[in-house]
Amino acid sequence: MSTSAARRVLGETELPDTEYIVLDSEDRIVRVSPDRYEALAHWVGDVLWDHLPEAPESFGPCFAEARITGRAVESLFFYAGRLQRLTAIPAVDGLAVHFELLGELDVTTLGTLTESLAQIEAALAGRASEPHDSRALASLQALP
Amino acid sequence: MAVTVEATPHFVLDDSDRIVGASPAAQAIFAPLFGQIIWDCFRDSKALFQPYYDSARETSQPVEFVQFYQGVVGRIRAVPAGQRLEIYSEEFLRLDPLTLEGLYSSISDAVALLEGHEAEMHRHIRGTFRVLEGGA
Repeated sequence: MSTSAARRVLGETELPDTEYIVLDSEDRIVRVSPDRYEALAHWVGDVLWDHLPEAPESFGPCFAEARITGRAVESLFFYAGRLQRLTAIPAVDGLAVHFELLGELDVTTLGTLTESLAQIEAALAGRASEPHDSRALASLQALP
Repeated sequence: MAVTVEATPHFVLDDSDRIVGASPAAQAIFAPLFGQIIWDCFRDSKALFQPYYDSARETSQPVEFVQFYQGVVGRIRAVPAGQRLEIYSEEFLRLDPLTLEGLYSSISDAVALLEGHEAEMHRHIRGTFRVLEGGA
């Protein structure tokens, strides 16, 4: 499945209530959400990618699309055993990137591994088959 | 079958499957569980491991097998020692869940290991039968 296919642009009112970080234009972390401050405060000032080896390829285009369109862009991705929803929201002080945990790989037994991986694959495939938000297409078509 | 055997057992069970000992490296995991029945502590493991442990006790012979558990493919050796059962382990492969690509690749390797071990076991059993038939 193409990870970029899992992206979609959100309506302006669909703002997630989740953990987030705020990135500057060079993807440096300038702020973290209060509930994650203790865990992530030491990341502030660092480039996000330095902390995410082999980060999903969809991250970069997702961030770029949000910055270009000025709209929130959502992407489902698998990383470090977790299925998460990433929502990149352009903000005054940078790009707010929200992460929401949707599922986890269960490696206890081959059975739990198979079942949890199937659920993750189905979620990723389901999102890939969703049509893009027409507002997103319209905004992209309006670009020079 | 060549086996790398640890100098000390990974952990030790009494005849009721209670955890009564652990290697220094495994103390962090097992020391808080001393006195508890292992299947109560690792519920999903019972079907995977208990038949082999029972077999080792019943035959009073070491039993060796390869199993997948908690993201690891490992070789387990259950060795009867009086009323106790010493469990030695050797890690072969750990799943890599960082990315889907890495995960798929490591699952493929894990399956190959498990299938290879199964084939090895079948060859060993067939060889044993041939020896028995030849000796009859």
